[in-house]
Amino acid sequence: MKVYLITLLSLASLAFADQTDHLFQQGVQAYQSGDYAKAIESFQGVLQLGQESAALYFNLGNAYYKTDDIARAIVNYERAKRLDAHDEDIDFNLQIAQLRVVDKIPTPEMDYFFKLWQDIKNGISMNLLTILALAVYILLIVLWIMKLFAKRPALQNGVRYAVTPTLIVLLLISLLFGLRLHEDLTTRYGVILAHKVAVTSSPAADATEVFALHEGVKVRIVATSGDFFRIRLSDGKDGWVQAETLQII
Amino acid sequence: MVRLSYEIKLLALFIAGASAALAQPLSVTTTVNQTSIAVNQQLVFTVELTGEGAQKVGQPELPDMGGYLTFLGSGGSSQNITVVNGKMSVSKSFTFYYLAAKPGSMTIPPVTVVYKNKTAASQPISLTITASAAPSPSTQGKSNNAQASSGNKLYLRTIVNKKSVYPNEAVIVTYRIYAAVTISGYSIAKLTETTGFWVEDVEMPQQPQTSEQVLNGQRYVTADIKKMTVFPTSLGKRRIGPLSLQCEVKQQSRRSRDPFGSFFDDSFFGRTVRQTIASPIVEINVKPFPQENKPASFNGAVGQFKLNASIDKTDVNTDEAVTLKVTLSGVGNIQLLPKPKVHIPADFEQYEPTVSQKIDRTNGVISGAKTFEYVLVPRFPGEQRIKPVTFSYFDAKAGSYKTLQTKEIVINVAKGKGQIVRGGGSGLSKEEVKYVGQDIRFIKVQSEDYQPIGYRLYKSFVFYLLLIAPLVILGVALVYQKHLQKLSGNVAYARSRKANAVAMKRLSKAKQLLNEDSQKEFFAEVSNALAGFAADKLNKAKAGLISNELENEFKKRRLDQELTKEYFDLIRFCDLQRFAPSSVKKEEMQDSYQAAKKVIINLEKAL
Repeated sequence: MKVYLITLLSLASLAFADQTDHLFQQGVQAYQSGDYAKAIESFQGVLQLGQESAALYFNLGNAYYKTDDIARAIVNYERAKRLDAHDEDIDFNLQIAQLRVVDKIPTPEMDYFFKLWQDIKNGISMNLLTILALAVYILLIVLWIMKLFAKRPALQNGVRYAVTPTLIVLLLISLLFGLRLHEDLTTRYGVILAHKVAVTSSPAADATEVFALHEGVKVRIVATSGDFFRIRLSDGKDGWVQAETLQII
Repeated sequence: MVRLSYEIKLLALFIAGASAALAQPLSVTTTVNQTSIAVNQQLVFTVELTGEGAQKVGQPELPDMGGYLTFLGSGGSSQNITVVNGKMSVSKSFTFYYLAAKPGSMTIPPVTVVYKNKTAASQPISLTITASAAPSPSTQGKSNNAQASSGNKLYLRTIVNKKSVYPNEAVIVTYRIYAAVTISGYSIAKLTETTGFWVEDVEMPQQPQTSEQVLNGQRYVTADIKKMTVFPTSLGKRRIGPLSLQCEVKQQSRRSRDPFGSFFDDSFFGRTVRQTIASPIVEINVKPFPQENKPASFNGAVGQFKLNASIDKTDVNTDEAVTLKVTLSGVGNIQLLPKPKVHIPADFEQYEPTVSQKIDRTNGVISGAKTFEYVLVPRFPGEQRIKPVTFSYFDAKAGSYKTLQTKEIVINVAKGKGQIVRGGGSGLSKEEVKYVGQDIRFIKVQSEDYQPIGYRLYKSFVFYLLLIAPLVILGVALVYQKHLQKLSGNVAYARSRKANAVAMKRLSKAKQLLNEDSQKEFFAEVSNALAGFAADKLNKAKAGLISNELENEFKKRRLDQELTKEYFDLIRFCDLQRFAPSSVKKEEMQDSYQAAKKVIINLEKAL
């Protein structure tokens, strides 16, 4: 279903397909021969064509990691993860890259159920969740139509029993979809690019420094003001940084 | 001073003959021993006259110091005659002592000298006086007098062995007293301020060793009062503050020429004056380490070191502990030596090392050894290797970095009797241990699911299409189904399904009539409910339904005989009461109602 849909959608960009593949393979070859700078250039070329994929971001992350650009490596792994939440390689490399980040931000202790909920909520990519929600929705409508026209009592009974569970599943998925949609539209994350950044108490160049962050730290962007982002860390620390020190995931 | 002026007179006589050869014009230069001093410190102000008439001009008039400096006394004058290639040049200098009175910036005005109607002036000197914690004013007050009379006969010098060093490089600081007067005792009034330094005090003998030295024609007794080794901890110009010393100075009697005077001039009879002297501030320039060839493992250690690593046993069981001993020995700041890099495999349970050190401070050279003991408990059997321990330091003498490395240590671990030890204690978290030394996974060689950047299905047209289209289809389906029902005219099915509901509605109306006591209408309603139910169920017209026809229908459906009888009896009774009413008790009406309800329920089940 997913492949079909996406193929349908990227019909317009079919013209780029050859060029995209060519650049991608060029990047893979450069990476294999150890020319990471060229690999980065090739993979970036694909992005410049307006195309993205989990594998592309993953490879780009690897190439940046090999050139010791940990911050950009993390940005690209995070982007890959957003497109494919279940790839073990992405998780693994992201973890390795995060080990090289100077700042260790303590993540608040999560109890089992909260963690489970987080895993369920974030364990699926947005597009896949959309497809899933649509599929259940269409299934419910199909069942309803079948109920209208079914003559045989066996079929009628079967349909009657299937409608209620489907409706419950649809409600749950819609709830999840709504939450994720809200998050997708309002929440942005960024990774610190600069070697060291002074996080200040207000969005001004001469504001008081509250704390310092080093490259590679993932932060949530909660507000913007001029050239400044208001960021929040997973442990609740809060402050402003200049926009150019961050790369939005 | 008396002696000095004596000499001058002699010299002047000697020079008189040669004075014709003098042709150089008179010039005046003034100098100070330091242009930046702290309050309560002593300033030496020298006026030097050179050229024609230098020796004939008396003591120049002193400039006004504007309250910044207090005049302490005159240090006398000295004359210098040099003859080079038959040309003679004469210079005469006067020394004056001042005490810095208040902080601020000031300019010492020029000193002017007039000789034979010609005026010569010196350059002004700018001077900065900084505030500093100095001996309390009361002691200072006493000392002023003493200094005025003793001049530079008693002072303290700060001697450093080098002035430009790297961070953590040893600097030996010695405070030496120069005394041309007799001192019967001293005590340290205030210790040196050493911000920005790590200080190691060097033990001094109880009685300082004295020696003699002649400086500027004056015989001094010198002694090292205090010695310390300092290690700068930060970059830039760092100051070693003044040390103040309180001395008991024996006053020389003016009548010392009296042959009897010396009899009284001993410590017992001598007059002692308490005098406070302070050493000048010494500035040490701390330069950054050279960047070239800086090893990655360099952690700021400076000196000359040796590295040694050893293990107490090489064959152990999994439940036994081994001790890895890493020793750094040599010359340098032992106290602040960083830990050498030790890579202990994650298969060892490890604990923070215990650190012990031995320091020798002989003659200000800080040397010794620092030992790091790591207790390791192997967790798994097999051959375990501890990578070579590396340590880098900067050899300030050679001006280069040196890296030390030990040999790899191999430990054979056998399976012990006890359980394999697990759990925390290591410096790294479990997760980090798992990944340390691992490389990232290889790239993907294929990518299939390309999509436009930032593409979201929920923002696309297809999403809305798939959301709305099923609803439209459902609507169409509903309408179509209604249409089909009408076409097929399948009223029978509809009537049959609704029969129960209609009958129950009639019965509830009957109940209402029962309560209102309207007998006739009650029975009509019950009769209608019963007859209507059967008609609906069988899809017959109620009006045209004859008892016989109904009975046949019931028989066809193999309805229970008793139920059939009950049904017809009830209808007949109701009709009778309806058309030929007799007075019926309320209880009977109640019974009929209950019976009708029961019959309808039973019929619903049966038909």
